[in-house]
Amino acid sequence: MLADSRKQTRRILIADDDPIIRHMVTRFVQLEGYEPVVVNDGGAAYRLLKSDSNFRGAIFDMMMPHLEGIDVMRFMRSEKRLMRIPVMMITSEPDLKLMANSFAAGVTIFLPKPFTTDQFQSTFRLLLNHHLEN
Amino acid sequence: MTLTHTETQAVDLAILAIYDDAQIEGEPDFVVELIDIYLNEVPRLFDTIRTAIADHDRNTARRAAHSLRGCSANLGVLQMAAIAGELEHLEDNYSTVATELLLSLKNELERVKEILNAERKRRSP
Repeated sequence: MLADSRKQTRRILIADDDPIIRHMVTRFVQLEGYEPVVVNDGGAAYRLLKSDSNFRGAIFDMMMPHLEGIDVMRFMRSEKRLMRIPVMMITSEPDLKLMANSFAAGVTIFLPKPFTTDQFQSTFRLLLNHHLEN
Repeated sequence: MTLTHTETQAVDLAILAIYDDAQIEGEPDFVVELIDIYLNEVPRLFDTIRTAIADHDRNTARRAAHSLRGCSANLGVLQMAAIAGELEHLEDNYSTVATELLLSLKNELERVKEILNAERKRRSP
């Protein structure tokens, strides 16, 4: 039931403290026909997710003030109503160990910075396909 | 000379032009919007870095340098990204070298502003 309602929503949660990446990702999500819900950091994402689980997917920056992307994602994976929302993590660190740990913690897909419109589009579609498969 | 970054192109306008793909007809020029956000954001990051160096707060300086590197690289502001990356990963002789790097960043910003403002004017006369 929860999964069915999530498949219908077109809302995508975006949390990034970098206003340029935020602006880019917001536009790219709109171009894909989805509705961006944008917050400025991990703390704001956490507060929103405590009362709102109606998201098709989430896109977090790995490194944010207050609460990092990985911490927000760990919270999501511990909550039944949030645990199936796929998470894309934007990162500038090509750190394989960090990526392996993040996958183990439940990250669905990574998008390394800097990225182009096409790279975002491909990664975003994979994120949502993962959602449909689950 | 303690600085190690090598001279590279200030701004690669071809990288900026990639974002023309994201232009929506009838909306303001998307690349100009990105330029405006960048030119507003960089002085704020410089202030954070300057204060953090003065307070010997390496973590805050590193975070701000990380942000500066990320947003610069995404817009093709390559030399700024390289210097910010050097500051982000700086270990030895921190205060002195960090202050030198901040000065390099400020000088670089003048060059970047000229190029980005010219591009802005070309797109949005």
